[in-house]
Amino acid sequence: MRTPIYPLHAKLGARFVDFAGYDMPVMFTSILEEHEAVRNAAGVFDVSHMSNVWLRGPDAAAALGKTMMCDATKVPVGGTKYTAVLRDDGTIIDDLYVFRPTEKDYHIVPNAGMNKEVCDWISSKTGTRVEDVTTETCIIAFQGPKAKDMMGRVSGYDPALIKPFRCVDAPRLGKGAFISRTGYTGEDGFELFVPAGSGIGIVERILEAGKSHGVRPCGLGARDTLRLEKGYCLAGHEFAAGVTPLQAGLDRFVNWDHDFIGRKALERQKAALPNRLVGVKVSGRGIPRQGCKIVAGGKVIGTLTSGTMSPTLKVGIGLGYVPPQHTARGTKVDVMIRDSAVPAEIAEIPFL
Amino acid sequence: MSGGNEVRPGLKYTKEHEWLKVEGHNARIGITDHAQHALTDVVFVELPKKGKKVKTGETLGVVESVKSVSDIFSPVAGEVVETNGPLEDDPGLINQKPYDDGWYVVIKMNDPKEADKLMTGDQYKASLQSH
Repeated sequence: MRTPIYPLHAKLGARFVDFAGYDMPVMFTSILEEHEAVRNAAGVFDVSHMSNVWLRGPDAAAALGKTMMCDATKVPVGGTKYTAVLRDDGTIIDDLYVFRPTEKDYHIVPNAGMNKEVCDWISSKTGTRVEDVTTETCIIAFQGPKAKDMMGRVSGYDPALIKPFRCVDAPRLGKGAFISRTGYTGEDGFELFVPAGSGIGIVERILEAGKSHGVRPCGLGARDTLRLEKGYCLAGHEFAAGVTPLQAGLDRFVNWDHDFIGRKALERQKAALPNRLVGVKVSGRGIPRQGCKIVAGGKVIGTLTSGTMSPTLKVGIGLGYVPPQHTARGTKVDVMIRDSAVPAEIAEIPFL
Repeated sequence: MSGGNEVRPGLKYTKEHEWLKVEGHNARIGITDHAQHALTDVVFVELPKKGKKVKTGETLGVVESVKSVSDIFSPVAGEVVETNGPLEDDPGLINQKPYDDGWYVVIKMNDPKEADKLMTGDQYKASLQSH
């Protein structure tokens, strides 16, 4: 599949990879340069492969509340919330963002390729109607310290009116459009949710406005190194083995004051977690990768779920699950990179 | 980063995108401009130890970009007599100057004639175009 912005990516010379069935740009010129642009100036990402679903009307908040660990009734108009859909056993089906741009409408963004599973789950558990608009929607992430200065010009909406982690209805960008002050890079930035046909025009406007400010088109390669430096979990990596939000370090996103599917399992697990997500920072030579074993005292204690060379820190970093006795910051471990045990330590997340 | 199209005359090439420059009994080895471009930013290089004896096609070491890990194969049999130490601190040299400062190792060849069997620049260029 291709996102509506694909023709522009091709024109800009993107290198493509398959991601969740989509031909997505992994980079345009260099992952390192794009990473740096987002940290120091700004970058624009097409994240239209992510899923887009509306829940509308008076039942929407209750349906979300039942199927998600956040209490959607507490999301104010213009609010956003990071949350997850859990199975009965408390493990994560998918993590997602809830947006409430207008009074009665909730927009959720499950991961790429997860729209059907999440929609089916919500419908079957609550009977609420969901509206999957994935193919009709573009999501453009404009991320970095300089994004704010240019937002007004490229969107027609005053960035001062969009506070961090808030969203605003943006009908001038098309039917159902809204803008949120969110992202997945750890930088200040915006995500624009617009009709498919408006996507290319907006990306072009951002690139034009940002030409002299070092703004670049960015691919999924930089998106991955950026999110990993901030220790953000990625579906298919950190959640692949059926872990709960408590194990994944997402405790703070659980609203215990409402009932939701998976809650009882989480309550039981609270007392004793089998293993937990940690950051691993490599001090020896080598790049940790997903699948590398984490070793302590000659024994394998875990496996990396993500790993890369941090472009900012210039050291190898990774995420992985280890038993509770190994989670203390500074604990010495080894990471098996090819056949070598490379010295590393348990590090604080975020790395940056 | 170099553009990915340069094929330098006077060198020998393998289908795994290594180049070899004959220097008497020795062969200087690196990866081609096409290979560095395909790899993207090289951020890590694992060099072999000096004195390592290698067979043709055997792994010499590893080059890693942000996204991928690639083996470097020895185009000839022989002994590693020199390694490009500066690459360890500045792996990006492979992207910037794949045929010059980005060289990888020097191998003393068991049989210098072995290099004759590798592709010429023109043959390599043709093999790239046929893909």
